[in-house]
Parts: sequence; structure tokens; C-alpha cells
Amino acid sequence: MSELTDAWQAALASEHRAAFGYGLLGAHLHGSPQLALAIACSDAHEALRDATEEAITAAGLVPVAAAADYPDLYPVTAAAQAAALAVRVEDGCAAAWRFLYSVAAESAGVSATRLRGTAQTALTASAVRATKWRLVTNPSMATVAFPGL
Amino acid sequence: VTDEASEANAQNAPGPNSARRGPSRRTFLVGGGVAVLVGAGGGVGAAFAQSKPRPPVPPPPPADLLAALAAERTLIASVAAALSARPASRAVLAQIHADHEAHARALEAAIAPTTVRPDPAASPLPSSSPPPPVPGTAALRAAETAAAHTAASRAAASTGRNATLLASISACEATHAELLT
Repeated sequence: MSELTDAWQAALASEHRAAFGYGLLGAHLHGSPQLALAIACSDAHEALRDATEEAITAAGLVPVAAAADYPDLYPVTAAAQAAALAVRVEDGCAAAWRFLYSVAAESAGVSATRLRGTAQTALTASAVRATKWRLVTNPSMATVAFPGL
Repeated sequence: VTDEASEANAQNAPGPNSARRGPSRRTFLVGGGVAVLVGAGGGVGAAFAQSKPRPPVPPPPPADLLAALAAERTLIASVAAALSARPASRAVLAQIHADHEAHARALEAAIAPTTVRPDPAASPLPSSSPPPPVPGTAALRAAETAAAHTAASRAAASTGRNATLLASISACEATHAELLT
């Protein structure tokens, strides 16, 4: 159970990081056509973060807290960097949820099965958001064959 | 020649503690017994021969992986047809085509350990088959969405690495639907 719990907490940590990242990059998109996309993505990550915290708490565990800062997300000084950062945070979330999926796929039990469903949904959502941002940063390579890998 | 041969024999000769030796004395004795039986009555000898241990038979590949591979090949053919008919959409369709080819290769690799060798008749479409109909963008998008759902269901029904591979393929196919919007 502990490896599954660790992977679940790591997925939550990736959502904390994404919520922070969108706050950081959104400030550089005012007046940009990508602002609405950034807001929608930020809302989605905050909702998933909150839902994941609640689920971890309901399982009798203490959800991992957000870090005070995420130095690896800096610097962001222009709209182009903001879009590239959005791709990075989405790829990070996809990797974390895919990892949770892989751990749950090796585990038995109702909770593992339920977590696989959650992880599939979150992996797909991050992959789709990453493609939306890649259409901004590099339209000729907007998809990856194995999201989260 | 004799020096080299004797040196090679010395290198290959099992040490005093070696668990694996060449054909043992017992093997030769049993073999002789078979030869006598065959001489005495072919039927008995043949039955004896069949009782010898055989190499383990590889398990059949999981049906979900085979079905997923077939689905990828269908998508590859559809996207290739669209690519030929709509060169203006090459930028989008080429990415999708490349992703599906990567999926097919990964599925083939996942299937390979379970089979003696991949079935060559199953790989790309035979040249004699009729060309698939050219799907429009909306039809391709619907096919990608359906493929994403099916792959997610197959992932949920699988375990281990195969499940994770199918889960990732499902996510990719959802991005294709996004790209075709």
C-alpha cells in the first residue's frame, strides 16, 4: 500500500506545482490570446488538486502540502516562456499520474482499481492540455506518442 | 589441429564442481533403450520419444494487446488514406500517423515475448487489400475519440506494464481528437 500511497501523494504534489506554475505564467499572458486557456487550465488543476486532497484525507492519510516555492519553474519573463512552462507543468502532471497508474496496475484491491480510473482521467486531461500549449509553442510537434513517459 | 582441439576441449570440460556436464552415461543408456524399442516395435519407441521433455510453449499473447494492435493498424490505414487525399492537412495528419506507428511498434514489442515470432501476415495491410475509404476530419476525430475510450477500457482490464502502455496510448489518442478539433 505504501508505494501506491507515495505515488498518489506524488500526483498531488504535481498538481500543487501546476497550480503554482499557472499562477506564475498567467501573469505574463495578459493581453495574450492564450490567457483564457491558461485560466481554464489553472482552474482544472486547482479542482483536481482539491479533489485529490479530499480523497487522500478520506483514505485516512495526510495529504502532502504545497512547497513554498518552485525554483525550477523560473524564470518566466515573456509570453513565449509562459507557454513553454505550461507544457512543462502539464508534462510533469502527466508523468505523475501515469506513474500512479503503473503502480495501481500492479496492485490489487478496490482502492487500486478506483485510483486507476482517476489516474487515467488525469493523465488524459494533462496530455490534452499539453497538446493545446504545444500548438502554441511548436505546432508541428503538438503531440507525443506516449504521454507521461 | 590436435593441439587446438585438445585446448578447446579442456576449456569446455566441466570442472569437478560443475553441475552441468555433457550427455551423461545415463542418457546414453536411455538412448540405447529407445533404439532397442524402436527396433522391436516402432509404436512403442515413438511413444517413448514423445514423452521426452519439450521446450516450454510460450503463452498466447493477451487478447487485449492483439485487439489494440489491430485497432492501431486500422487507424494507421485511415490516417494514411486521409494524408494521401488531403496533403494540405499533412502537418496534423503526419503527427497522428507517426504516433499510431509508434503505438503499433510498442504493442508488437509487448506481444513478441509471448509468441515464438510475430506473424508476418499480420503486419501491415496486404497490398492486395482494397484501399480503405478516405475519412473526413470529423470521422477521424470520432475514430480517435472512440479509440481512446476503447484503449482505456482495455487498460483497465489489463495488469502491469501492458495496462500502463494502453493507458498512455489512450491519452495520446485523446490528444489526436483535440488536434482534429
